[in-house]
Amino acid sequence: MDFSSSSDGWLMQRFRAGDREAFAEIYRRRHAALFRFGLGMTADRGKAGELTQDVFVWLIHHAAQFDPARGDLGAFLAGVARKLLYHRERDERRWLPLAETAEAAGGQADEADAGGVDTEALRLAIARLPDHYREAVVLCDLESRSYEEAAELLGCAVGTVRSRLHRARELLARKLRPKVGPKNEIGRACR
Amino acid sequence: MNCQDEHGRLMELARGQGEAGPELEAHLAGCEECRRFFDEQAALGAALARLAQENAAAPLPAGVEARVLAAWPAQPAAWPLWRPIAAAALAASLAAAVFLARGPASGPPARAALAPSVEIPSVEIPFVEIPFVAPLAPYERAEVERMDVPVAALVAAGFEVHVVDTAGTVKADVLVGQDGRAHAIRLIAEANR
Repeated sequence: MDFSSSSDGWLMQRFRAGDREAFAEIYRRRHAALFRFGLGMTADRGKAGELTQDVFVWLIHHAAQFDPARGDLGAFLAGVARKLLYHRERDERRWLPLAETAEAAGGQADEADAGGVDTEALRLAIARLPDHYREAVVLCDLESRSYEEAAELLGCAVGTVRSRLHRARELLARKLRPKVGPKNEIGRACR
Repeated sequence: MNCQDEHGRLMELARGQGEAGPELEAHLAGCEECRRFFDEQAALGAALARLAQENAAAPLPAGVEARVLAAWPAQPAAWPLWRPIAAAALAASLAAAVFLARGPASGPPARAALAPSVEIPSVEIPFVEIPFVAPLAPYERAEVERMDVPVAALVAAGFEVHVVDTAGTVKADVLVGQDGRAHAIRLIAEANR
């Protein structure tokens, strides 16, 4: 059966009724966004893949928790991903203090070519931001979501998202600045 | 103009949101700190855009889709042939348990004797029919018995049971017909035990 033109709501109904193909279509539609979110948040492709997998396995057993009246499926799954990610990170206890971010980021930034900021350094710097700042950058700057969408997903006010994003970007610029040097894009911009 | 107050607008400007306006442009032209802040944020924005492109192009690790789809539970329609036998065995064992609990005395048990041990669950969980057992006749009277049912028997009969110890038992209400046959079952949530 071709589900390509079916709405998410209809697919969820079919999925709840036990239709495996409807579930597979939901996976095909939504996995890329969840993977990108995971990659932005963890800076680790393997972890992002595991997170994507965990979200859909969770969905199989908790499909009834999705209420279309409270938001669309994408936002619901992103919320699930966020919670699973924080559970996982709490379990792993692999947080690095923010002070280490500049070293890790700067160490790689020194090796960046003259074309600009090394994206791996930036990726690591984002992954080591405090939770609230990290998700603001990932949602608004990497995923290009509006402040309103991010606020709905995070369950906070639009102004809160904006201020978190501004603070996050200040931190990122500061962490990347000292080691970047004049050959880097940011460094050139600072001259 | 307070530079700190303008940083919010400058950051939005660096993100490609909004317009500077003549007043802010004039300030930027004359304020080195704000100019540096803006340039820095614009450069960061360019780097973030490149990172977003890299993330969008990054492939999902191999095997994720297969593992997700493999997690889909087996459907009742695909039950193998031994499932009816297992279900019948479950129904028989439940009937035996009911018989042993009631004792050899004939006739229906006194309701007063059951009442203290059976509490009405605060959360309504529907009964699930035990497969391959003839349904209750419309006139047939049934009673609910609470008992410990082996997890293995439930799994063998095709029920999906999420417990840590599959060798243990779970509390369940069993709907028992007049002839002592078990017709339906509902598991008791831990909070209601």
